Amino acid sequence: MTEVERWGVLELQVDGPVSTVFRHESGESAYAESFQDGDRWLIRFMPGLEGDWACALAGTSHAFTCDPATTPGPVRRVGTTFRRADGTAYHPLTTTWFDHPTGDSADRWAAACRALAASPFNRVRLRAGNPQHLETQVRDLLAAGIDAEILLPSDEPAIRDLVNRLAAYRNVSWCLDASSDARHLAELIAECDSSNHLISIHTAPEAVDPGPPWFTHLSVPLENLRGVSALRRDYAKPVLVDACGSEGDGSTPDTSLRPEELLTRIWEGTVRGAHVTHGEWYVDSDGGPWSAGGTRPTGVVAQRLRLLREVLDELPDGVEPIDDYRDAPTLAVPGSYYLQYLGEHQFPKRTFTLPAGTYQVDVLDVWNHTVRSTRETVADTLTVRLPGTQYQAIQIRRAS
Amino acid sequence: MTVERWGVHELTLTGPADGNPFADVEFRVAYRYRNRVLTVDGFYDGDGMYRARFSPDREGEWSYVTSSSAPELDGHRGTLLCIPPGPGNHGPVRVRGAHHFAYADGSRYDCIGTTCYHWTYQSKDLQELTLASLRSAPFDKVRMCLLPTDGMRPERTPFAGSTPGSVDVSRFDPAFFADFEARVADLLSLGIQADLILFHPYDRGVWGFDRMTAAEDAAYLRYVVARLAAYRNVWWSLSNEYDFNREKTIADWDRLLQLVQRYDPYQRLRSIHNGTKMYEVFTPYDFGKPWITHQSVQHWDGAEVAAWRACPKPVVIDEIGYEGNAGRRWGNLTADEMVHRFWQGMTAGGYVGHGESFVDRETRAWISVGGRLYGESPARIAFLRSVFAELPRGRDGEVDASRCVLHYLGDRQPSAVELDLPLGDPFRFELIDTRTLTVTPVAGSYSGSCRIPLPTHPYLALRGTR
Repeated sequence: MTEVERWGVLELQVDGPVSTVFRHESGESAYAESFQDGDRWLIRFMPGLEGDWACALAGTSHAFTCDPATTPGPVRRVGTTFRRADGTAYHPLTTTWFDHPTGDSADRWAAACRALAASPFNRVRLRAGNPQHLETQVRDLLAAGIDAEILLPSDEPAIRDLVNRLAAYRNVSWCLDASSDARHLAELIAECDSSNHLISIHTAPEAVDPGPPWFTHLSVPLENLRGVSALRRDYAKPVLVDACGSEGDGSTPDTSLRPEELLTRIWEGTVRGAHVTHGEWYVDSDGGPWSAGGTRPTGVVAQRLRLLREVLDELPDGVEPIDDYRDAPTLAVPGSYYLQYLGEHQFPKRTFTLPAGTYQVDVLDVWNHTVRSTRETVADTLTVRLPGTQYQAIQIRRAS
Repeated sequence: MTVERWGVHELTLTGPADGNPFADVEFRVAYRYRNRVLTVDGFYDGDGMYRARFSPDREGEWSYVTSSSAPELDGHRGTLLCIPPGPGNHGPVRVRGAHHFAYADGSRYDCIGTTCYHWTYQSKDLQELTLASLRSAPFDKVRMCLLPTDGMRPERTPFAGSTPGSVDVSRFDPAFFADFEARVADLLSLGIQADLILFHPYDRGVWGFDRMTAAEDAAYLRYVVARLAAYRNVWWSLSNEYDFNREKTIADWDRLLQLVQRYDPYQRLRSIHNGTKMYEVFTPYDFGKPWITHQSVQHWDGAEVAAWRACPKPVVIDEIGYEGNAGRRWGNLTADEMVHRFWQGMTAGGYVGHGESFVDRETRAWISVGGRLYGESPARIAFLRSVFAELPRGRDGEVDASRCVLHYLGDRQPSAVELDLPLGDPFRFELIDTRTLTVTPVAGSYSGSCRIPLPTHPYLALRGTR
């Protein structure tokens, strides 16, 4: 019998445009449609449950067994946060790589994919172009353990084709371009997508309301990252800022951010509980600007985000923005974990009110990528001395 | 089990009756078509009965599975078959383009509403009379309140108890809702939208429903949405004259609107209505906020519509003044003045709602209790509605200016009007008398800059077509 691991990809060749229902022994089921791949028609399916599955195609029953997972699975929305399907926390750190609209990208992509695998990013925004190229990119990213957000075109047949082709890959999520009939398209995606991936629309909330249930999270362009706190409150959904500007020397205001500015935007939004996407636009980079399908990020920010990646990887479960400290954004699990970001301000020191105990205190110089760690015993308040320079973060972890 | 598209499927299960099931038991149902899942809140209906209502929007097989904090309500599975909509079922109303409405099946919704705030709180006979009046009236929407005013002493309220001071707002009265829902269903069968007003400021602390805690407000909204959202003719009006309630802030209204949005799986139309004082004070909610679907305005001047259209959402002047003889400023307009305001607002690309307040007639003020319509405006509004329904429109719902012009001349009495028409094929005009409800051809044809002679009296409109 065919075996597929949980959240892996089952592929069946079929005779033409057909649909089927995959049925699990528990009674769960999923609907899938075929798509055309060259001169073949294929149906793909990602089983989300271990055990026996079956589907009927052209009057014949196909059975397969789903084996235990070796991966944490696709990303799901849980309240204002994301989690993997196995329940582990997921903190996306995304970069933008929009392929050239035309031309053969294979060499550039191979280099870019190597660069991504070595980067602090665990998620990439891709723009849908040639479906087969896109699929290659998604598979390469899957192999590298990187998630792919697909910016979809706005015509219905193309969306349907892409969803049928790619939904079985656990690492994809869907993003609609600001479209006249967002509801219809979002519902179409949800209908076709047998893996129930995340769906959003890239636009300002004033243009298309992100509140309805057919959007799992917000995908907003936003320059002032302080605004994410209100968005999180208003919509009670995860907030992804997927365009806050690019580090670079492009000819527009949003492609010529100083590296300090992009880095601080990403930290500011992150410590306010959002997820902020990186972009890079150095005109003379090898292969063109990174975010326009270049071969590797050549700027400063991509490197310095390693520190943020380390912090995100060690964030405790249940961390949330708190508003105890009105003059600096703070993520916390009250009593045991605090992460405060001070942005452009040159505070000489910061004081925290903490339960009595011993804490590991890290002063993170976000721009210079240095960490100064101390162990402090606290009775009720802790004063952390700072270097008095910009772009400092403070991380406090309870030791005992 | 079959249910027509945009109809209501109801699932009933028995579960725990002890404690306070309204607050203690979580009960939700996930309905699925292909891979799309739509999750609805169920609700406790008293006597150990739990229900969930669902309105499918796609024809074909839907499956469902329940989830609950109570084991006996958890994990129930089933299927239902959604069949094509029956006659007269055009689906829910949605926004079309920036400033107009359409039913989900694409047909036009005229949006000529009226107001009967507490008609469902009246005697059964009076409720039946209201429905009979609506059957022959030109209105396709009724604004109506869920909550009683300070002076009312109804037998039932949405909450447990009907005596001010001894109402338990942590429990609801299923019998109140059963009656109320039957009336919403009656309106549906008449093709009338139920614009449900969820809060109002006329409580003044007597019942205390205008100053509940944030948690009580949320529980109330969740229960109301769970019970009523599946009716396709439901709209949410968060409050009447929200700015007259001094117990709540804009931030409170933001939050309450957001909660209704979160609870409502269908995203029925959603707005909030301001008050006005003395033809001076006008503080509408910021309709640009994303969770608002349309502008539910109270204002006395239909000509303001043009300015409000700067916000890309339909303008509905739900209160523009009422025909009648009340002793209050808002309730003693002549039919001429009332209908004039309709024509002004509608020709500017907005929508206007009716109300009537003859306080000395058998069934008293229509806006409060329903009953019988006594005024002259409904017949004229029926005429206006037919004129607007026939206008050629583009995909965005706007009148197609290349094919048709509608020019309202207002309360003036000009002997001629100068118009700047599109060049090219000439227009032929008809003179519409909005008082006598007559349509008379105008001699000649016109294009470009032109001058059209008029009889010298007010309340006329010119309709030109190519």
